[in-house]
Amino acid sequence: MGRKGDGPGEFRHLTWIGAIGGDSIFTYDSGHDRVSVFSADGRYLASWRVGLGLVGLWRRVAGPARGGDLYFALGPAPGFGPVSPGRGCGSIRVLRFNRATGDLDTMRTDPGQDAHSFVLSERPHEIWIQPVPFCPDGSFAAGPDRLAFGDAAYPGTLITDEAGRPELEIHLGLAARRPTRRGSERMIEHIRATGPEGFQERRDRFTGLVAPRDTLPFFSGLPFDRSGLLWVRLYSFPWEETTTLVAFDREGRAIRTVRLPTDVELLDIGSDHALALRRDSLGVESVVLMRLAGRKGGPGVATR
Amino acid sequence: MRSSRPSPRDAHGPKARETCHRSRQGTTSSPAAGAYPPVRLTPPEGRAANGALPRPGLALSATVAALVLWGCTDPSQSQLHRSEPGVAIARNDLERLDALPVYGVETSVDLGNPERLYGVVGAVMLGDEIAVANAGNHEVLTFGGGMANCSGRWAGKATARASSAT
Repeated sequence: MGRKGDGPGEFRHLTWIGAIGGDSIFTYDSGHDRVSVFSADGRYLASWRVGLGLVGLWRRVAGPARGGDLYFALGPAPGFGPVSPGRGCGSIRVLRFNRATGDLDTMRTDPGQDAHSFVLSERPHEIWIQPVPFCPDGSFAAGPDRLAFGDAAYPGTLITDEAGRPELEIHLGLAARRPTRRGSERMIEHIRATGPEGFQERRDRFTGLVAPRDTLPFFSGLPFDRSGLLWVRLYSFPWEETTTLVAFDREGRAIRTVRLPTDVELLDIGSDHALALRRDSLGVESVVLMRLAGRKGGPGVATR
Repeated sequence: MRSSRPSPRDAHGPKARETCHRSRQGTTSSPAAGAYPPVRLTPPEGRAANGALPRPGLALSATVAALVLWGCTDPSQSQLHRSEPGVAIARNDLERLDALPVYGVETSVDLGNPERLYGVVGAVMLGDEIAVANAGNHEVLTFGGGMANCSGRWAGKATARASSAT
């Protein structure tokens, strides 16, 4: 379905795909700045111009959320600006696209004045997130009624409700690994985030434990699956054979881990499957469907 | 970065240490059991690592944090705290993650490159079908037919569609 062009159901720069229920496919074409919807059997149904404009250094699309709304996150590129724990290094602007009405409120509002709370815009369709210690890593996801943002400064994940009100932060602790004679060694420090003193405390301990240049973002990629679980991919080094994803429930509890080969890029995940993109040495792409099963320890092994 | 200070885990006493000790079996990137270096939770000599004097209560809060965060609890449960009104913090340390069931790839089916996969930007499951956003050719391809056949090839490869949507 679709082809290059400017007409209905045609694409100029296809950048995202999502599904709602089992019968509708959503696409976002950044070339046309347009959302299009297709039926599962390939029929073009409708499209809307979003009206994002050329704002933000990166943009992420996520959803569909409840009612088929889509969320667009705009912000600085990951790694852009000073990445320093305890300091803000950017903000994320989130816009909600109402599929029913085609509305997208793009009015800019000032971020909150409270440095240690995630004060958001009161406008219903626009969310600004700019707490002082927040350093977006470019990860963004929208679930049925929640949003998730990756934070490279803590590192951690901020969960908000669909209006952007903070509900939960998930921390796995600050981690860094250094090569040793035995290989990679992981060092862990748990951190507090309970206010200004906590932020100060965290920064001191951070620099005392490892140099910032040795510290790597702990989270990347934040998809929600259809059951509402948040899947977070932990950072992995190139020489590691597997990458680990952790599923968190609504209360932030880690309930499951999945190990996937590192040579694939995750596209979609569910309770028993994962869809991923694989490129061979010549850059030829293929999509891989992996059936997941529980096993006690050991890396995931892809078999063909 | 090793420290001569006692590990926070030691502060819990022998019983707690025994409870905290968990098998590292199955981890590929973690050190062997008991090989974690002690983690320095407070700067030496009562000063921050950058030389700054700590704020009042810092050492106490760090100790409390150590006791709370390294506490021996059910590994399947995270600890929920309230940091500010309406916001909870869930902590899941890496030892707890290692204690969770590990899922790996049981079977893997490659959809292959049906002449035109180039610039894939996303894919989603739609029941038994897979929809792939193929930006290189400005199209969405759907693959149907379920999981692999006996040869390990994608059973629904022949059903890939690429029709005009108008």
